[in-house]
Amino acid sequence: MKAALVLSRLDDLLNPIAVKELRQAVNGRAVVSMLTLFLLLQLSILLLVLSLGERSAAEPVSLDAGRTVFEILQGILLGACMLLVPLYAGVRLAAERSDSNVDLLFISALRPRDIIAGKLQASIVLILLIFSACAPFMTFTYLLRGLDIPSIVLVLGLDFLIVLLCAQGAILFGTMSVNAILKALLGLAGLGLLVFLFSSTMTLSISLLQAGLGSRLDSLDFWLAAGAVVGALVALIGLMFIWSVAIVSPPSANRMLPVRLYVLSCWLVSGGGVALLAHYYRRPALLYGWEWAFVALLGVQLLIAINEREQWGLRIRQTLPRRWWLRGPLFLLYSGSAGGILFTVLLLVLTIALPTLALEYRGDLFSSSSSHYFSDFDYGNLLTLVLIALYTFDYAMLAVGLRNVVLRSQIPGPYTWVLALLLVALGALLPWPLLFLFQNEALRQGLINPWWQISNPFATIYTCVVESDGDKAIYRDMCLLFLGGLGLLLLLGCLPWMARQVRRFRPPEKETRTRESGRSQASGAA
Amino acid sequence: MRIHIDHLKKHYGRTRAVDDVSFTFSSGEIVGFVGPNGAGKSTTMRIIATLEEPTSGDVFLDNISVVEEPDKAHRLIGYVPDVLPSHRDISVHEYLDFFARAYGIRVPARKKVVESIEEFTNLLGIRDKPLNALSKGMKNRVSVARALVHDPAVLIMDEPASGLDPRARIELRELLKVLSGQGKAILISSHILTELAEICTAAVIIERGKILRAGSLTHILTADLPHRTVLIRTLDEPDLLHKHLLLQPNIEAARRIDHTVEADVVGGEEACCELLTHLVQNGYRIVEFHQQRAGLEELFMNVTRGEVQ
Repeated sequence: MKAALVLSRLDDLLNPIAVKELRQAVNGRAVVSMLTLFLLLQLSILLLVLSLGERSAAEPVSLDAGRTVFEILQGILLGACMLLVPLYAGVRLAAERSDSNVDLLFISALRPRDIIAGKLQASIVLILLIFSACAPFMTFTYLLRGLDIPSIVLVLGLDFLIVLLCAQGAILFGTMSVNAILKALLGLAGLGLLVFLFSSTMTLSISLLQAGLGSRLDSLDFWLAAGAVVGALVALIGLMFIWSVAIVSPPSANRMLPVRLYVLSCWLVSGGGVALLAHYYRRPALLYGWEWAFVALLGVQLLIAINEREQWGLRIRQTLPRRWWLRGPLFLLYSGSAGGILFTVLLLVLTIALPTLALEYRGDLFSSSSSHYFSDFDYGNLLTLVLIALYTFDYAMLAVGLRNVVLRSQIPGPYTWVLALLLVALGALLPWPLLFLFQNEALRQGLINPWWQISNPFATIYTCVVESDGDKAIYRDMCLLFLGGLGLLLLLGCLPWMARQVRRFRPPEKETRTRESGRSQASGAA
Repeated sequence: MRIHIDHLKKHYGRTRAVDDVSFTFSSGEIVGFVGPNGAGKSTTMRIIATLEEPTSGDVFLDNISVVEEPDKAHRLIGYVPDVLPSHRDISVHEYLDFFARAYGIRVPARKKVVESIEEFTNLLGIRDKPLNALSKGMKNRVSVARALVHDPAVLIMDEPASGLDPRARIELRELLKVLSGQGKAILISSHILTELAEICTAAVIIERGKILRAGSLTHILTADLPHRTVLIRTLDEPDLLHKHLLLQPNIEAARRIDHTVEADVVGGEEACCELLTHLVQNGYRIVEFHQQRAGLEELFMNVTRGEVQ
């Protein structure tokens, strides 16, 4: 009786979406066929490898047989999971979204967070199901020698996180309601990313297996590195989760508040953690890694911010404080285009400035020598980051400006990111035909004036960072001045648009009185 | 429960999808929400169902504002959208169980609730059938069942009868009558006006986001007509009555139809009453005096212009 009670309590705790998804998975043929095929494939490969091994039995016993078979099986497991689980999760969600069934989920007591969590939980169960189907074969490889249990467990753990990352990525992709062409382009980009992720995970896990992890478990360095990798992967999964929740949240919701809070928390926690590690190992490169990761993330955040709302509904405005100095920080954190841009730019500046200042003035804290000099490498790194940040900002603001002034009726607000990417593509490609037409001779001799390529971020960064000798140094400084000045001009051009948003960002006054009368009208007669 | 739609506005850029819409209805009432395509019916319904936020105005379910407290409002509203459920690889029972879970109904109660809803909506026989193998009528029943899972006080139904065969439509009509009898407030939009007129107690006519008429069906069907049409049957010679009626100053027109006479009386119900008294006083042996109600369809055609934004 007690067991039944416990089971029913557990049943109540399950996420309804996860239950629905798993029921659909069990009822459908796709998962069952996939699992059966997967088992058959593993069995065939194991038999094939073993039978081929027997043919060369005259030779001494191989001590690597287990590892070889494990690597093959792991490759199949990882490849199959990375392809099938995200495909299953993403396609289902995309189909439900196009059927406007997500609407129906909102009418229930389910929150957007529950919807995405349910989808992710269902993916986790599916991954575990496939992993468990693989477990007997993996265990068998241990008996064939050549690898230890900790290596198996850790590599499978890494694989699990990578597959989960892909599944969450597919869920994020599925939540986007973009047109077919954009979806196809994003799908292609996602596929490329998947191939890159698969090959790098396989390379990493093969090198880990060859090195053997069993002997390293006592080392603090190993655990710090493993913790950093796991932390980064979990943070990335969390970020995509929060993005997905923001996308499926109703337009009237304060969608971006959790995203900004999450990015800010990650920035603070990871920044602190990386600073401690850089100090512990005396390796400034760790700080650069952090800077690169956050410049990339904040670049994406800037592309998201330019699509956000420009006015707020009653639900949000009712949560605003009356005092302007309390509203100020909320303007940066709440959903809203101008606030989002300012928040991202602020964080972008801090991301580049803080490590640079720390290395410049307290370099001894992060360097093995008593005093750290700002080397050419440091300068090149800083320059690249600043150029990336400036180009991202300039193109994003150019897109906002164009949309506001010329393309208001053609480009809806949520598609400003497409305009920004189109402008980047145009900026990168346009110089080539122009050079061909007007600077043909110089182009042939490879002596073109770098200013012709100023709209091309890739060429400019290459020229400024790699070819940094002689007169290129002047170009580099002028380039920074030009991009900075352009950014400032674009910002000034967008100031009235931002000011309008600041003015709108206030609690309602008139509506409250009207609402009270409406409420009394509804309840009075009841 | 009293549902008060209070100066609701919804603008999409320059388009005013809903423009200052206000009306009220209560438990036990079935309100027909009528208007041409693009009139703003679905937008209004989606705002009431908390799926969209108004540009201004609000909807109150007693004291609860759908703008301020959408979570509380969710639990009071059952929404039947114009899209039928189409999930793959899931049975009717599993689908309803999912929504019961989504509303946080816990284990011992959940089983009973889902079964009773299946019984009420006549789904017991097909509870194990896959959802995507059902006919439109069956899916419609599932859609209604899903909206009823959490026993809402208010039902918002957006075109529930569209595409249904006559039998399914009759079944839906009966179901709505039962639900109204249970005290649920129902707002239903439909283009099949004759059927709406049969079940609705009130109607709201909307066009280009603005309300044209709202109120009890009897009231709106009679309020705007310049005359009342009465059907009179007498034991005397109908020709005599016909001629007599044509001489009366408040009779606009009179027609003889078989053994009865149909007359258009200028004025309201008082004028009809006066006419009956006059006929009796003049010795006519009246056996039937019946005021004919104009249809919702006729009124709809009279007040709307078929304009969309």
